[in-house]
Amino acid sequence: MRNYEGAFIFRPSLDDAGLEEEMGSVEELIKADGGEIKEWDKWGKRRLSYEIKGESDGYYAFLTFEVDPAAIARLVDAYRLRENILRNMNIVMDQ
Amino acid sequence: MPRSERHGKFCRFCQDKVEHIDYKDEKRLLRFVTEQGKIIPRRVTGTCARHQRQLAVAVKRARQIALLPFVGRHHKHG
Repeated sequence: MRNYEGAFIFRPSLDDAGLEEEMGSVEELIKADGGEIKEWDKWGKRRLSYEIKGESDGYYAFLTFEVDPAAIARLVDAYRLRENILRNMNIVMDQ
Repeated sequence: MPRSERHGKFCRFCQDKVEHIDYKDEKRLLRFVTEQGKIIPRRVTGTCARHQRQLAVAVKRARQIALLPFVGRHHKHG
């Protein structure tokens, strides 16, 4: 198990319920792979520096979590299938 | 005056006692990239070697999540 920080950019047109659902699905995926959720840091809507999937704004949220390093590739694959996740990046938080 | 330097002689991160440069700190990173989005060399900014290495990683991460542009002026589109 290792500590990670995941950056997520969600589609800006999502309403509160939609966002909850997307974040819930992220949590589900991590838990399903034996991971542990720490906390969300929600930034809200921001302008993107460049367009992603036709969007110029995005809803930023950062999640700290703990998971086995081997699970990251599986998680990334799963996130890619989600239309409402514009971008994801996972950073190892050592020390 | 020795030679003209953009931000003076000292490493701004050492001055502020920054232990770890955060890729989410877009405001700060913005001061170390040009208008085209390129990372400014440390000979210009005076950043120390240790912090310049950290800075490069932080800028590259910030670009991946669209906090900084890969190229071009910030927030050009839209």
